[in-house]
Amino acid sequence: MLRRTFTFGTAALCGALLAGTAMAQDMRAPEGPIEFTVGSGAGGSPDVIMRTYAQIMAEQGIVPNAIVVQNRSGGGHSNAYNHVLGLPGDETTLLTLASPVFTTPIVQGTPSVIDQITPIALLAESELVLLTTPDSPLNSLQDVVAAATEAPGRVRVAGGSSGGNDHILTGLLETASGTTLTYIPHESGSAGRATFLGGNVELHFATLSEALELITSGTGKPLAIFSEERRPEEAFANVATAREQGVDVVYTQFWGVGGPAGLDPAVAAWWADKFAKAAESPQFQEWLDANLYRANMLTLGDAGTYFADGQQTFRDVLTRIGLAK
Amino acid sequence: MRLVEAIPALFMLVLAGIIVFGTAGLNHWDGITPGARFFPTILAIAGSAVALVLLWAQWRGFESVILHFPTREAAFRVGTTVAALVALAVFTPLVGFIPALAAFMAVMLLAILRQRPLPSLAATVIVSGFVKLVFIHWLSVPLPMPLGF
Amino acid sequence: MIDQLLLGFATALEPQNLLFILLGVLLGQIVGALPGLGPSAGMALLLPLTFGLEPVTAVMMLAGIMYGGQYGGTLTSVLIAVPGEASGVMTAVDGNAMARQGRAGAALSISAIGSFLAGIGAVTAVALLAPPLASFGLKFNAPEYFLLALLGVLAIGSLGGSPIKSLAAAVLGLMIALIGVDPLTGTPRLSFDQPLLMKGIDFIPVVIGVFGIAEVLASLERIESVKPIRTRLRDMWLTSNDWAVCRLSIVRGGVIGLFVGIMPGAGASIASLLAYLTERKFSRSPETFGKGAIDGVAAAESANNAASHGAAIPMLSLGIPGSASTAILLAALILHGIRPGPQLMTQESALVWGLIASMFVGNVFLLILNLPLAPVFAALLRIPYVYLAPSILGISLVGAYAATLDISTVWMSLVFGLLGYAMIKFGIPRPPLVLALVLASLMETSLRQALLLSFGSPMIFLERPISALLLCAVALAIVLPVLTAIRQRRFAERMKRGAR
Repeated sequence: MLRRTFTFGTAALCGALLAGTAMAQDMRAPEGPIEFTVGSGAGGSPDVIMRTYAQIMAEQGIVPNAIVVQNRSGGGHSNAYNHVLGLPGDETTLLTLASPVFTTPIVQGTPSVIDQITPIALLAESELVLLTTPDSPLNSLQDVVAAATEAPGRVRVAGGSSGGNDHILTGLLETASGTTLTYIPHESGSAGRATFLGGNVELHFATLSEALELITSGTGKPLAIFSEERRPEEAFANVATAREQGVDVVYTQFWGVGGPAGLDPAVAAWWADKFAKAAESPQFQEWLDANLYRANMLTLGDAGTYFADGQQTFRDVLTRIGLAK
Repeated sequence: MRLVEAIPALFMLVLAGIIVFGTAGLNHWDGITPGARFFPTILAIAGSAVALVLLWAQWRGFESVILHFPTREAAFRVGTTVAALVALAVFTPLVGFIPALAAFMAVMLLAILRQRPLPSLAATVIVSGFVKLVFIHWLSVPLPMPLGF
Repeated sequence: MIDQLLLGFATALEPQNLLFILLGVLLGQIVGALPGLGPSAGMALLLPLTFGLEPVTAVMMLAGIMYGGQYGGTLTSVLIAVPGEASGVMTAVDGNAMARQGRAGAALSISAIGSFLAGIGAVTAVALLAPPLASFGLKFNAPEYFLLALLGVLAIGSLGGSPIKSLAAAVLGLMIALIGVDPLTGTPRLSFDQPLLMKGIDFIPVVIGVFGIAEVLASLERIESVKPIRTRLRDMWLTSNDWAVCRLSIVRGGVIGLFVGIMPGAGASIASLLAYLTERKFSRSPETFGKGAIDGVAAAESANNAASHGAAIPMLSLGIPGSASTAILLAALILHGIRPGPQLMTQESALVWGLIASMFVGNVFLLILNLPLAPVFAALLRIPYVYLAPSILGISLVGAYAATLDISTVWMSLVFGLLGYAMIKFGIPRPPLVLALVLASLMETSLRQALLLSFGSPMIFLERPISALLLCAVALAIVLPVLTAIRQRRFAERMKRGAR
């Protein structure tokens, strides 16, 4: 985890340097209609992010080609990544990178996807917040650690899916605090939220925008945020980071985009440039703010390093919780 | 009871065997909850039980199957239709869905069901045109089109 | 609240919104009527059409596609027995049986009327009672879902003629669902290292194969004798007797559908199955169920439309989608920069009430559209079957491909077509297989989740009040048929002895 935070500083530096080289590098536009392959169903976060980018790219005239967002859902995103891996060198298909693209190969014991594809850009990040039920006796992350130390496995987390971001974060939390929690996987993040709202469990991880809704409506009580610093928003100003509470975990959920293996570097550079342009547009910034996501535009090699770090975290945690094959 | 009537029960028993054998590496119990092998084992047991009860019921004559074997001509028609479906699946990625579908319709109507040429061709054109219009143009589903149509 | 609803109607009745609601229900009706494509697939495909619209107009149109798709799915279920979603399986059985008796028009009409009344009832509940109903829905969780699914699987055993064969088909469906990965942990299971199997077996190729392809193959055997179904005009419409039989079925189906719909984890498929089974208990002619019972069709169709509207309750008041379709509605909100969650109804009240009002309007459109058209659609069956057969095969396979964009789905459909054909030959009923396949993962995941919640103690099923009630129902479902069977055998034996 620490490694990821280190790369932030270096990435900013390298980003500036590489941006220079990217400009100098040849850029070539792909021809014909473009497919953004998404492994989630319509409505999943990766789908919504790609549709937002596609919409902005079309409306602002950033990309002249027609763009279709195609949901190849099922099999833990494997339908999507196998489709893209099956098109080496193809210039009109991009793969959306969400955590299942990293974790499914680890869990199923198949070759890593991220090592094969051509990284293009990191698109968005989201911090995660730990919540408990409003009338819970737990009032801080220390309380959780104390409760879980006293009765190992008796503190339950209603989670999205096995191997998902909140499962990884649960694993990191367990390692950092030396406790055992019970993670209960669901069919989707919202199914987990239903279990939490029904008062069946103690804990639930939510993205900032989900958490904001739960906190302001009084259906969830925030315990900790897993970012470097506190968030400035009113609802989160009093939510201490995990580090402040003595648990050294910093974790952000992220989404990215990549091209098939062997994509012409000039086309990859062109796409990186277009994604960066779209991300700079006021329309996208507004959308990011509304969803409380964070932009941390890394492209090409930097994005590749970031993804590789992410993969290492996933592999470490999945191995420790016995899911890696 | 004839031997052929036992096929469904035997099929279930074979499946139960495959399930037991195929889940060999998984756990029945995973800490406090049933593991990945729990349900498969329950189903293998349930499947075998149902199969044995079915066999017994058939043997005692409580359950009877009246097997209608198709006439030779009918069997030929079903067999060739299945072959045409397989050909459709094989040729779709090679020539595209619309040409493969048109060929399938034409072969089915003219060669297998032996209909008159004119209405058969009309039906072929209508169905392929419908699929092209609805799925490709309107819903913009990326059906395979290696030849461009 | 009335003010807000009136305000909602004012929004929904604006000419532009009215136009897009109409467009939505029309598109939904058409896409839903394509084999293999149900409401959620239709919404996903048509989502880009809503870009550039005002958020409120966009959700109105998308919601129109959602319930329009339910109405459209009825067409394929009744006419060619290929349901677009799992909630249409019962209609594919009884509705199609009615069509074969020349009563397709009546089946379609009662579905439209039932869907309309149940839909309107459910929307009224959304408008008046969303917050309390949502918190009631939250009382259902893993233990309750497990028992509901178990109840469903047990009840499936009584669907066909022979309980043993029905159970065999149900177990087969559950076994098929095992293939792929463990639904809870994602570890590969019974996939034998084949990437094709690791994806698991989806509902769509199974339903297209087992219902669509198998049916056509079996009919091809006796194609000489398959006459186009001659429908007389007076059979096209509902008779007053039909209406008398179905009135209460619609009410019961609608209520069951609404309650199942508000549970975030159960869907329209459980709703229509439970409504159908309940209806058989109430019916004056339970023996016709499975052979063209109009009250069965009415109950199942009312239930699935009520459930798809009822799913709007957890969606609007909690931000939790109860179905694949409502998940897409929520995504449309997020795409337009609106944050769904428990505060949606207060912060975006104009949008929420506009959406609710639009559902009233859209259902009226669908009723007006479907009633006069029912006989027209039914007349499609006048096309000689020789021409229908290859068209059904071809279009079903295109639908299977379009749903997943993967040629392996087409192959899968063919394999299940052969399995379904074999089942017809051996007299094994097919609906239990498909329904069990749908219930399997809910059953397995919720059992394991329940035991995780209780740290391994099975007492959780007794400690929760709703769960305890359901447990009694499960016990009855197991004990009653056994008792009846024993009594019948004793009776039969006594008769035999007496005869001697």
